[in-house]
Amino acid sequence: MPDSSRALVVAIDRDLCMGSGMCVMYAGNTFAVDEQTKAVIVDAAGDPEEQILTAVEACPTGALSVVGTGAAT
Amino acid sequence: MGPTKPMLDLERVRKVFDLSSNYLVATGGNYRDDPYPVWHELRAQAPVQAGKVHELAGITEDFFFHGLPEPDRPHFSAFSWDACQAIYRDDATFSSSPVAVDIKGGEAGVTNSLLSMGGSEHRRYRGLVQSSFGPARARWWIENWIEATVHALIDCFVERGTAELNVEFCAAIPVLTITSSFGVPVEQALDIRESLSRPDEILRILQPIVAARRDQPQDDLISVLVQSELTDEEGRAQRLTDAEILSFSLLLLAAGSGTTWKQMGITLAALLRRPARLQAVRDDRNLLKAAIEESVRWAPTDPMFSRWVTEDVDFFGVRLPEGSVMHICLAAANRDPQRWDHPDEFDLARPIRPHLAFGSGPHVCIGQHVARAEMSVAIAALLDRLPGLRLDPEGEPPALVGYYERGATAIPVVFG
Repeated sequence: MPDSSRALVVAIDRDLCMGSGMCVMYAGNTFAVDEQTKAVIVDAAGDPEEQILTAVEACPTGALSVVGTGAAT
Repeated sequence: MGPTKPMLDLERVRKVFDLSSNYLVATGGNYRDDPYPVWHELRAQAPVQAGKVHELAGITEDFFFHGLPEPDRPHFSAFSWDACQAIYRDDATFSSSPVAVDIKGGEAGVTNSLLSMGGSEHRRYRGLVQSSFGPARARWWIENWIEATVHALIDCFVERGTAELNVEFCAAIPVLTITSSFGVPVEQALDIRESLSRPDEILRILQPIVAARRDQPQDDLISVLVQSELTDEEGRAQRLTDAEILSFSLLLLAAGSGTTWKQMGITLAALLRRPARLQAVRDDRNLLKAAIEESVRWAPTDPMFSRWVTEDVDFFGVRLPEGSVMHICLAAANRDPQRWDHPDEFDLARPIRPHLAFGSGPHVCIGQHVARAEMSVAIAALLDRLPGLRLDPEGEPPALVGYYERGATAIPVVFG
């Protein structure tokens, strides 16, 4: 089970994001693609940390970055 | 869907999809060896080298694919994970086309499309169609087209107890999925596939459909395209022209029908040749995702794509002159031991992580989620409907062949 008390803080650069959906494939409980075909975070601790890091690495245009850890809301 | 007569003329399918036929021999369809040992050696020598992938591997025959032959340009090849990934991510230095695209005035064709655009133009066009291909749309593809196609094909051989899955099943699914998403009737699907090198013929079939959807949109891909609005540099909204829609349709057919067929065959061949792993997938369908991801990592059907160098640059210790062609041997990157343990093993227990089978960067494969949906629905349906599915002990077991377009030979199976 993901630790919901602390979560990675992931920043999304909406200019770089082109909605490939790769983040959704690797961490589908954390990321979604909105109606403008850009990635959004639906639950910062939706998946195990390892999967979220994989999603960040997988972004083909480097639009995702980990900027810290914080309390999940 | 009830039992049906064969949907397709299988002899024609065999001809169109035979890797060693005239259609595919130019890309190395007669190649029968395992290319990976030499790619390992090349990667270990240097991550980036002067020359074409097949030439560096000691093949004297001329093979053609993306970025080949380009006789008047210097050629380089990249083999390591880091180098291949860096090329894909830097689309300013490594462009997907040597010339600018002329989408409005140029002739409709596979390369006069998204495939060759760059920068903001590519972003705008791709943005139009991206949402129809995202993971959230997988169910739309599955329920509208994939499931019906898969079950109709299984209906054709389920009573027989034997099948040749590569042609009777794998080859037919992607072409039928794409053409039916266009609204093309099954009888015309193969006309379209056979006409890939004659865009005029495909346009003749698609033009009336585009016109009909402009008149009255339906729940299909052409309707999405005719209703899409493109925002130009000045912020004005415009509808796509017929030429733009047809170019995109040609790109989808060219990029999506042969690739998914071959990758599905590779995945089935890998599992059928490893009965314990096939049984594991049969018992736990969650493993199907791992099997598909491992198949595309371990043996991607297209092991190489190319980019054009836009300025003189030093890259991994090699001077690349502007105008050079860079061949990304992504199959070698997908088995880079720096990134994967026991990289040559088809291992379902491996943690799922990004690979380069669908490329990366802004041109990352737009159809990848549809391809995954096709493979996963198709293989799950075979396991559900064909108890005891296994290779025919009397037949030749499938081998992986081809150089720049790799795929399985015949996959003879028995069941029941």
